[in-house]
Amino acid sequence: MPEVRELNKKGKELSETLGRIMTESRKVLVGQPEMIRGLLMGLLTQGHILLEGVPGLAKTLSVMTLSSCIQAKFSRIQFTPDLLPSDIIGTNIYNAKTAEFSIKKGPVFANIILADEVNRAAAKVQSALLEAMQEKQVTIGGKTFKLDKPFLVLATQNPIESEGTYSLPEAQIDRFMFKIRVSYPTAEDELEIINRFTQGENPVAGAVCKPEDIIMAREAINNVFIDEKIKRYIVDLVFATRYPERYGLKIRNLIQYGASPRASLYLTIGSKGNAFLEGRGYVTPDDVKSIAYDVLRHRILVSYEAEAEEITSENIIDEILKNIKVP
Amino acid sequence: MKQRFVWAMMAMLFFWLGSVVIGFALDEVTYRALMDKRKIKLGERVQYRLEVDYPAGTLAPNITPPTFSQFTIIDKYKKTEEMGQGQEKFLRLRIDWLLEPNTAGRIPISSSRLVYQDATSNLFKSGMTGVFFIEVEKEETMPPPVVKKNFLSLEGRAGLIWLIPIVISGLVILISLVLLRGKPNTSPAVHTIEFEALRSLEQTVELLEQEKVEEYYALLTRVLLEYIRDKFGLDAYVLSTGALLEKLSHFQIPGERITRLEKFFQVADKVKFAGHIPESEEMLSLHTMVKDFIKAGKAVKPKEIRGRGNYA
Repeated sequence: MPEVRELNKKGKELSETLGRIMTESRKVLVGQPEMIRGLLMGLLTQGHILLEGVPGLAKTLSVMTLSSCIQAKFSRIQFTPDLLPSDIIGTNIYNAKTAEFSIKKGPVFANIILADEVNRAAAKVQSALLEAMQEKQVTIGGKTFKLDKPFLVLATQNPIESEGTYSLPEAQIDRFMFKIRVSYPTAEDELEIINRFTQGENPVAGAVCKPEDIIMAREAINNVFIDEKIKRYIVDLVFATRYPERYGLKIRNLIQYGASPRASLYLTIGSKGNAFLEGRGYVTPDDVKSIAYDVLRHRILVSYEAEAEEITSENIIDEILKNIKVP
Repeated sequence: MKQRFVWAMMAMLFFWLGSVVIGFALDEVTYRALMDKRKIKLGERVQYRLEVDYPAGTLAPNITPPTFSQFTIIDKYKKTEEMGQGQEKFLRLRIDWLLEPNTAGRIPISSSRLVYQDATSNLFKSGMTGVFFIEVEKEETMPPPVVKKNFLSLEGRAGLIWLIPIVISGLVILISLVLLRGKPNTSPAVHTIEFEALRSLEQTVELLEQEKVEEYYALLTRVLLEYIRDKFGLDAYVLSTGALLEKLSHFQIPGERITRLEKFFQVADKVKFAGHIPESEEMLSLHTMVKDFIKAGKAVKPKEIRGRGNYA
């Protein structure tokens, strides 16, 4: 038991390496520490991420920087209304010379995929990507291909335009481990952006580790110890979104649907990842709290009453975290 | 007939003498109820204690406590310890209840009864405490709490009733003397919270002696969290370690104290959530750390605590 609880030497080295990724990416990215940390967490815990923010907030740059830090294969798919599933997963191409069909793999065959403006494509295209995310394999022309490891999908949504978009259904949104809100930089950060990106050559992040190191780190994360008391705390948080009255919370009328069991799973995995990034071999309630917003914000469906009062799912999470007793 | 009358008289004399014996025997066993506050606000807690001092040879007395019908019992502790030295040695049984009133108003705590067997006469004897009344205020109009020097006490035995006028007279003389000397009333600083916390801290040592490490840390953490809640008004129980330290940093607490507190919570988290068993030296040093943190709080009067936002 104690050896499980303590990070072993290798695990400690890996967590330090991951710390260096954060440092390296800061050479390129200004501010947005939550986004960088969230991306790294997703990579380590095999959870896909939905990024939401207005254009120009360095979402694409963040993903590209992360890929170059871990020397991973990166591909970007710009979702448009005329995009087809085969444009993502690949297709069979007929070769007239050899009179044979050959398989052309799509951009989904990469380590890190940026699905830009995922809500602009039709439902069947979104569905094709989400199936690949879930099963980690695709079938082209009757032949099944395993996707590369590590495999991480980062999808972006533009919250200010709704015309010509197809919103992701709740069931599909639930497949994303985190939903990260990307906000505007501070005035100081914006000044730094001007200084850094108007000098001719843009800064580039160097390689820190290899994709294999990420896979090893994932194994170490699986060994991070989580106590029964913490598991119970996670269940209490998730149940409070479904049955708030059981916990003495008067927010029942604000919630249409609470979080799914996937929330409990992702809170557990995510808190292990957070503990690992902190260099700890065991999970504390702080780990759970630090990822609770990212895991729960897209899983709590607020009621019309809440919308009318401009109460968001984050306000509800806030209320839950404030009132559920920490072990 | 005459003989029967003589026997009857002798029997009466025997019972009369017996009651005198009971009176003397009762002097060996002291039974009292104590409360730390008489006036509180709704939501605050009060501590009720029953104390029995009895000779070492006596069987453990049987106590029927009050029903506490208008209170919620938050916690209960029971402890017997040896007091005095040599021939003066006796046992002290102490039962503490931490209570939270359910309603406002003048709430009574009913009397409690004690039954014990006298070591010399083997007779079963009993005693009873008085009834306590506690003023529970609903609105926040109550003046700041007055620091108590000692527990307020109601003696359980009629045998000591004669002591009451003496005690009152003594107090009157004492107050008169103070007033006559013309010195300003130097009441002690508001250290009630620290006093309570340090008293609770004593109980943790017992767990350590019994090698109940996890319980020891749980109690140590609870004492500290309750102290922080009472001293700084933070709901420490629903805050995680990180959030609590962040909120405490808004108060005028020296950075060194915060760092030491952080270290304590790190170890406590490790014990609670990773089954870590620290070395005995570390355990004692953490105990000292908590003690020092609470003691250092004495130097800061509540009015000196300045917070930002809603924390003050």
